[in-house]
Amino acid sequence: MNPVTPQDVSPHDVSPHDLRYARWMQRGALLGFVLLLLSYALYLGGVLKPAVDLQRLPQLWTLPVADYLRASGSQDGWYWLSQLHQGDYLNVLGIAVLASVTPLCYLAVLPGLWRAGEHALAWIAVAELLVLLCAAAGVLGT
Amino acid sequence: MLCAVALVLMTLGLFNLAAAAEVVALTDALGSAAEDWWLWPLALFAIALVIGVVSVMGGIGGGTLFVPVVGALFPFHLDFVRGAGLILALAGALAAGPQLLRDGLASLRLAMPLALFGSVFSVLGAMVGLSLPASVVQIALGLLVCAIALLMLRSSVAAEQGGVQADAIAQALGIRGRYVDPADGSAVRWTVHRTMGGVPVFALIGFMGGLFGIGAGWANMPALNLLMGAPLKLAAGTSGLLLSVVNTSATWVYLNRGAVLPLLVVPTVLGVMLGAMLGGRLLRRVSARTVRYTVIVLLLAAGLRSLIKGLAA
Repeated sequence: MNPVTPQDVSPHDVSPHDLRYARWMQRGALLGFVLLLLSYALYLGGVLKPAVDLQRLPQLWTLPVADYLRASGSQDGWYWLSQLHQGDYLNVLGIAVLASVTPLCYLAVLPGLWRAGEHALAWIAVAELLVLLCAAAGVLGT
Repeated sequence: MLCAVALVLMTLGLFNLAAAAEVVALTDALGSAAEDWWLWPLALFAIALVIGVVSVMGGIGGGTLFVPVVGALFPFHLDFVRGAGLILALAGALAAGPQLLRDGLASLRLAMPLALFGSVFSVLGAMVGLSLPASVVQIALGLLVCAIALLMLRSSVAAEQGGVQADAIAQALGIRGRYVDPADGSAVRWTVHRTMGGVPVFALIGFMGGLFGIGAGWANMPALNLLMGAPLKLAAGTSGLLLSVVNTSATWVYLNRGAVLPLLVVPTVLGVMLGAMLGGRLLRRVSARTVRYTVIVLLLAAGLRSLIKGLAA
């Protein structure tokens, strides 16, 4: 295979996949930041009562996470999703949205990559989505 | 000169503030300050703001400074500090990513294959980190941060690469492109080599990122630039994009394990982001040498303190 130098590659500007990814990234990040700030205001403002009282937190945050969960009566996994009426758990929603931006961006560019014949990159995207799905589902992490 | 003095004072102030916070922690542990819980997010915001200023001026990610500094000086368990550090690095990368992609200064095509290996190992790192005793992680973190500081001390400015020959993988995946350097308006064509060599390096970087909850910009950029031959600006931009993917997987592990304390996350993210904006403005007024040595001293101090705290436990 003949080596290719940068001078040989055909110049191209930003690919449509990169632009699509950027659009989704921007929208998702904005949504995540807004949710994070709003829910934090509701949490600290006392509008929504937290599951773990704020005054009790200084005694709990020194503990390893397993002990913290036991002492605070919290649970791991997706338990937070059923507790969104509580200020602290609602805050987790904004964090989860930020952590969902990347898989959404990959999903957004996947069909375009496939249609453009970029099958190798499309399969890499599928593999990445599987890794993220396993991490999010707790298959790998719990 | 004044700015340089201000920067050094700010750095020293960071340690003083954190040391004061530790004193408050002691008081709190004695049970007399439960009603003063609000001091903590406030102190965290102040520390995060200074970290944001210093880290952007030093050219390293906020997470690299945040975890060792807050982990060593604040009473929060390292599990929660690492969770906040990961989200901080993720938020910064998500905020900067869209513009970098639009400007062609970050490449999805370059990031995707490397991020896949980084993600897998980042999850493994997070699992290992959450199952090890905090003292072990603290000692390892101290050693790593000291090593980063020494690396920064020894290394010269990364070389502006170009003219490398694409390897077979880069050819097959079409990893190449062109961007316009905003500094001088010149068009830069690029490709990469040693892609296979990059795979284990990015796997290791991902593992450390998940294990310690620190961003990996300090390692991504040299790996892309010096190892794979990506031009410096593209390496810097793509490093952030890689970080956003790799940190996402580790963040989900921390979320699933419950190692994310919402009270700590928002002041951290907000403080570092505002600090980074401020740092960007100050950058023009302070010499690169001053910033570089400030960051090195800060990293060494945080690393040593982390080491001592880990050994003492």
